[in-house]
Parts: sequence; C-alpha cells; structure tokens
Amino acid sequence: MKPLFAQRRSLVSRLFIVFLLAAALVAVDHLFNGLASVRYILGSISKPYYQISNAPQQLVSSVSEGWQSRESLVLENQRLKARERILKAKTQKLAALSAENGRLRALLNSSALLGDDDIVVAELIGISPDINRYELMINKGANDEVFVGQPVIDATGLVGQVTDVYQYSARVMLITDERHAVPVQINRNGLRAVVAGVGLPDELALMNVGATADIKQGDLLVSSGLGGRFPIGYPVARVSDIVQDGISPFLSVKTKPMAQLDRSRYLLLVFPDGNSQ
Amino acid sequence: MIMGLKGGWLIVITGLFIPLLQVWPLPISLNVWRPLFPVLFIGFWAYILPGQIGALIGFAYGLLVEFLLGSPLMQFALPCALLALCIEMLYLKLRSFSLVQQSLYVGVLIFVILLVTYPLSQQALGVSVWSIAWRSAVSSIIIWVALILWFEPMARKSIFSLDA
Repeated sequence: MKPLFAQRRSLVSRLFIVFLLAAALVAVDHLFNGLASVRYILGSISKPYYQISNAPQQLVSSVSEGWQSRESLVLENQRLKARERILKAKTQKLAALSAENGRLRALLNSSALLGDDDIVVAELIGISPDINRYELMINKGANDEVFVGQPVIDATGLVGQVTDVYQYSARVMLITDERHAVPVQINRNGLRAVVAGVGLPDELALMNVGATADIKQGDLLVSSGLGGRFPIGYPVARVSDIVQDGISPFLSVKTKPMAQLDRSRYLLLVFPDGNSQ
Repeated sequence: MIMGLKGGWLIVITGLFIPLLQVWPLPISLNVWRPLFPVLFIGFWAYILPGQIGALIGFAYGLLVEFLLGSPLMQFALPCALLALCIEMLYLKLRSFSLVQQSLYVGVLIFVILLVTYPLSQQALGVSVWSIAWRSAVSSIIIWVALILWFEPMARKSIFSLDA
C-alpha cells in the first residue's frame, strides 16, 4: 500500500546526487570523450533554432535587397564587372608568380609550398550567445565533408577553425577566442611567431616576440603553416601597436584581425591541398 | 512524467521554446544582460509545481540545452538543478512574499548559484564571473516579475483547472 505521507529524499541527498552526477559526466566527457555521440545527435537538431533566430535579420536584408532600384543594380553590376576584370588580370600575374615561386623553392629544396586549396562557401546561421566564447554556427556540416580543425577564411583573412561538426551544421571558433592561437610569420621578413586571441572582438596578441625583433607597426602577419592546421600564406592580422617597457625581454604587440569577423555573412571553408569532396 | 501532468504540454512547449531565446541574436551591449533562460524556466516551473519539477528534472533539462546549443558542460545543468532545489526548499517562504520581494530573492539565488557554478563550466577562461553573475541576476529579476504577472495565471490555469 502506498503510504499517505511518502518520505521524499532529503534535500541534502538530492544535492549530493546532483553534484555526483555532474562530476561523473564531466569526468566521462573529459577522460573518454564519452558524450561525443550525444552531442553530435542533439547538435544536429539545433540547426532550426539558429535558422529561426536568424530569420528576422535575413528577412530584413532580403527585403532591402528586393527594394533596390534597377538603376542601382545596373550600377553595381557595372562596378562588379570592372572589378572582375581587374581581379582576372591580377590572377594571371599571380599564376606566373606562383609558378616562379614554386621553381625557386624547388631550387632551395624547400617543401613548404603554397598549396592549391579547394574552397567551399558556407553561410553564417548563428552566433554563440556566450559572451566569453567567440564562436559561430555555419550551415555546412558532416554532409558536406566538413571536418574538425578545418580552417575557415573570409574574403579578407583567416576567420578561425571548425571545432564541432554536426550533420547539417558546424561550429567555428574565431581567432579572437581566448582558447585560439595561430602560428604566423611576418610577411615582410618571415619572422615566425604565434598570434593568440585575447577575448576581445578586434584584438589579437602576438606572443613572445623578443625585444630586439624586427617588427613594425603595419606589418602583415600571414599563417606560417607550422603545426599543419592552417595552410601557409593566409593573412591573419596586421600589427597595430608595439610597446616596449624596457624591463621585459619581450615586446607587447597588439594586432588587428584582417578578417571581418563581425560582418562576414559568407565564410569559406578551406580544404587544404585539394582534400575536398 | 511531465506529459502525464494535466497541462504538461505547456511545460514541454515552453521548454522547447527556451533555447530559441538563448540563441536569439542580440547586440553585444544587450547580450551581456541576457539571463540564463533555461535556469529561469526551471525555476519558474519548480515554483508552480514544487515536488514535481525538481533538481533531477532541472539537471536533465540543463544538460539537454547544453548539448543542443553546444554550450560548455554544466553551464546550465548545475544552475538549473540548484535553483530547482532552492525553490523547492524555500517554496513556502517564496509564496508568502510580495512580488518584489520574491523576484529579488530569486535574483539573489541566481547570483549566488552563478558565482558557484560559472567557474566550473568555463574552466580555463579568465572570465569575470562577478560581472556576469550580477548582470544575469538583474535581468532575471525583471523577467521573473514579468513571468509571475503575465505567465503564472495561464500556467496555473492550464495545470490546475478542474475538468468540467
């Protein structure tokens, strides 16, 4: 018979159970990555949430595009055609330079060649609401052969890398995230360094640069390809501020990301050296 | 279990709707004030149905939201469970309070819970837990007032109304 006044578990024991469960789950996740499949399945059904939350913004932009006059569209078309001609001309020169670079590197017996990367366009569908994490959601996932660690760029520079892949979407960690670092080199002189996120939307820090290093304000930092994660030669940041306090053996170097991290709606997934679908 | 309740559909619908509020894009200046909606959701339903929506359901729901949104482990699960537990413990006191007292009480609870749990979920990040906790507590107070004023009558009606 069911007792009339059932004795419920005490609050302390329930508190203990909750903390025990939490500790067990954290241990299983960290030690054995045991929750990866659950994350994958539930993460795969999260896409509609991001799409719905992004819908008003998309509606506004599509309506504003629809209201553009014919005259402005013709003008934009002309401007784009002119730009395309210039880019085509530059590409011809780039092909010649690339071939020459390859020959010179072969003469130097260097294996660090600029790869012929394949690129797939992805659309931004959401931004992480967590103010301490600089992460984006894109509309390409395992179905499009996206993989963890894949470099992501936009038209102007390196954006970040893929950290989680779901069936139809993926999560991208931006280079400004505190947990992110990229091996770079100064484009002017090849000096190698590591640029790391500091948790600010438009600032990166160049780590451990010696006080006597040849570095100037305005220097362009490109990915060095060391570590094998990011292909060589993509623009990462530009040096914005150098401070030498006279005591520390290192310079304090601030840089600004080249990519338009808070504006780009379309991102490019890089498949290094033709490793694409 | 929840669907077995009369009006359980309302809990499920609000539960499905909450992650949308959590990912809704906001400008950075407003985003820092975004409360932890899943925690408020569990707190609210624990207040309406004490003894039925408790720590374990809160924990399970928080975990579900974490997996769904790719959030760090224990960002929502522990706060949800702890708030449900506190509300169950302080239920009679909360019921006797005025709306302002009640919302302040909930705000303080959320503030303390976040101070304890946020460093656990964010591990390596050198975040200012203090500023996150008080901002989240202030916005939770405002939303709690709105929930009790506008949503509580409907929730009670759907859960406790007698069949004709």
